[in-house]
Amino acid sequence: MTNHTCITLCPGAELFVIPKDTFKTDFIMFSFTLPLDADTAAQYALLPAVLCRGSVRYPTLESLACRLDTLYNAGIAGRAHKRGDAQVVTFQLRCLEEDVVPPEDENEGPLFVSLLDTFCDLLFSPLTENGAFLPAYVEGEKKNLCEAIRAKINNKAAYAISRLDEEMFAGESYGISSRGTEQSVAAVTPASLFACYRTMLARAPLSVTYVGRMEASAAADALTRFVRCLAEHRGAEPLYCPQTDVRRAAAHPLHRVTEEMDIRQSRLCIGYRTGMILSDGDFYRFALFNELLGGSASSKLFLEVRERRGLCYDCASSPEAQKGVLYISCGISADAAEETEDAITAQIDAIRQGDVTEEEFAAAKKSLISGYREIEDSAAAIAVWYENRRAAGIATSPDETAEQVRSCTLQEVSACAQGLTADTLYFLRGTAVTGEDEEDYDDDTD
Amino acid sequence: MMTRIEHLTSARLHQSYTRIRHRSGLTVCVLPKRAAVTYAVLGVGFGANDRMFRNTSEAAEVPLLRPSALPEDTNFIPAGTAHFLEHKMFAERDGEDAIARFARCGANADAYTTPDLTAYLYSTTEDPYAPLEILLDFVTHPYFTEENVAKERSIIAQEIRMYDDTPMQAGYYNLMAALYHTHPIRDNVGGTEETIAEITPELLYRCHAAFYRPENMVLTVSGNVTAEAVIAVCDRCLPDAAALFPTQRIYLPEPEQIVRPQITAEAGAATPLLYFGVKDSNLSADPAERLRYASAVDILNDILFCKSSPIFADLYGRGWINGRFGAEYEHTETYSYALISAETKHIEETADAIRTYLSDRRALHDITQAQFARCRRVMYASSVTAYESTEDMALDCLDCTMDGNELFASVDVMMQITMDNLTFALDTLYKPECMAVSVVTK
Repeated sequence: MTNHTCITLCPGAELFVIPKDTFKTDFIMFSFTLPLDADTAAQYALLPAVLCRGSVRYPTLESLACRLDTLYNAGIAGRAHKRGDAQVVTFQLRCLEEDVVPPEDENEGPLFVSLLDTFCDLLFSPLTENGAFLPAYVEGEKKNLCEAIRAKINNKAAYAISRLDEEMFAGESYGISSRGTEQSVAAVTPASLFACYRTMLARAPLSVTYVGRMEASAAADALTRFVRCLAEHRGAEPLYCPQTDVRRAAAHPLHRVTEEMDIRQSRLCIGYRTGMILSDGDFYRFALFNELLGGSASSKLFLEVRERRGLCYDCASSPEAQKGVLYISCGISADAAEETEDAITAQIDAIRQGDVTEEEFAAAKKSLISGYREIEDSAAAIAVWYENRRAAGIATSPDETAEQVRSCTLQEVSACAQGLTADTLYFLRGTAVTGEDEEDYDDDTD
Repeated sequence: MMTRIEHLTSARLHQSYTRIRHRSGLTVCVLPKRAAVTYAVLGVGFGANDRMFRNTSEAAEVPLLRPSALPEDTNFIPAGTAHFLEHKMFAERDGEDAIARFARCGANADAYTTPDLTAYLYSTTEDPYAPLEILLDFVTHPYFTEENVAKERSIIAQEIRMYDDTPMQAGYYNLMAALYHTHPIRDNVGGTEETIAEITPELLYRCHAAFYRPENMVLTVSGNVTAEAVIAVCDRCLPDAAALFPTQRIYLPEPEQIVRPQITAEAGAATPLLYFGVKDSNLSADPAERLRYASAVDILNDILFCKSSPIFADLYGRGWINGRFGAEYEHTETYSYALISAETKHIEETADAIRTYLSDRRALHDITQAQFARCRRVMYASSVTAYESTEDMALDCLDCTMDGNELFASVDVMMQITMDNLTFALDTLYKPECMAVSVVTK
């Protein structure tokens, strides 16, 4: 990690260059960090979609897609996501590395520069009408975002987790969906969205991460136009500095919520306050705890709840590293909720008490370390890894973290389990008939 | 039988690999690459579609049988058996799960079943050969009991219910039922709770004996490995080829006509889902011909339905569709279809627009011609970047090899597709009478 370079591009904008010569592509990611706020979540969720809809130079989706195809299938993908109590708008750009562009083809200049140029067109020269975004584009993307919000229900596991979030974090910023709600999307106007756009460019700290073969100075040079355009927006207003409200323990007894739906499989989700976050510096201990509990097919939850008791097909845990949350999610029969909950609690208690075999502990370490090593094989994974750590004020590499995990003791992992408190249990009870007496889809349709 | 070794090189990809016909009968592809992760996958030619077979007394390899009347010695397999077998292969005689053996040497193991094959795989950032021994061992050593089969039935029932609750699944299988009269592609890969109730240890043993034979399997390994070391593991773990009666797959004849033009189901879709299918009866037993034709259709579909296509711009511009729109294509020896999917509140209008778009051959020909050069840049870029990950490399090589083709040849064929190939694909595939629509609503 010593060979990384950090260059300040302009106030509140830094470029991180991670040299890597194993990929045939150049990768660069722009992350704007904003407060996660109920009034603006939908706006910032919409913004990347509206910006990628067209610019003055590429006014239609078709012309933009043709441009990217001509740049050898180059990609510009924008989205908004949640990081603790912050909303992060990112744009990921990818194109062929210059060496593999066929020399006989006619191109206007280096591919990476052409791609950044197109990105600058989208970000800084959007199509406008009366000083706001084009109403047709805004309305079109509002409709798409509303459909995406509604489509959550198509995936019952993800839907149940999002309901758990709403229940568990009611009254906290973290409970706000990074896509907003259908109501807040409906309230967006071309003018309000344009104001948010100006605010993002003026006040959101920006971190740019490049992964590829280019020298740091060459990468910075390629960003000349970008920096000039951004600097025009950076003004007197102070930069945002969103802080995450970390509550290290549940403030109440387990909050239970049950809802019914006409589905065949029920979903049981439990949210825990963990008290452990990335910026603590020893989050790897918690990551190891999670791996042991429900992070892989040799974890306690998988072996006990699925393999030994046959209660489910999927039962897994996943950690959240900024807010300090552990999620457990499984798909079960409607009548198995109690047994499953007990089995889950028993597995956590087992780790608390150090009831972990040497083999289980070794397998969890190997599995987690393997996951860290795999990051090397993907430019996007490398960029996201360092970006998340920079946001938490740490800089450990995947290899260094793997070393920390290797020397982790069972006592340290048990201590993580001690700090865990169950906050909310969400049960989505399926009420559809299961078993022999029901009809196939094919028979009762048309 | 001797082990035969062949080295293949692609100037285009700057890659090479070794293809081995091991003396056990197993085909092995070793794709060395400098990467953190080594990825290995063992494919078995037994998929959800294989529902009837017989063991012939002929010594040579036998083609698919498509009889009008079934032979007396036909073995019937309930829907979901290949998938059930995949789950149950992980059970070991000592009561342990093979997953735990992999975990001990730092490898993550998994498996999946498709209509066409069953695949067992692992990835590791540690010693790549120790898990390879486990892989070859557990897939060739079944252990099924009444008890372990019964327990798996409840786990798989949960898996079936989970997928039953996704509207995408209802839309897809309804479309298959609208297109196909007899072909098992109509049936859920996992079967139903009723069909898996018929699965017994005896049936699983019989299917294992019929299909899990080295000559019906392909192993691909990509990452920090050498061909010599992989062959040495195969030598240790696999017996010499045995003289067994070949297994012959049986498929009922499938008419060219579709079953019905439209199926609508209420399955809780937030926004209605449209699955527009085209049944393709241009099937071939020749792998090279399949590859050439399927490559042409892939390019054609990219031109006709990608984000820079006129129909996407039109429908998206009208606000009828969102970004979840696209075309895919499946082409195998026994079934083939194109599938265009969309999320839309304007079901009828969108389906009509697709139908109208596909009926104007002249316009499509002009679009194809105009976009072909641009599309070649896209194809070139995908071919250069296709093998950045050892996982993609191993999986693509597996699919290609199991279909009787060779990985690098498939990239070359893609780059050699001509406008004539595209015109042929256009005229062959998009026949109005072969189109059907499946709709999923709330």
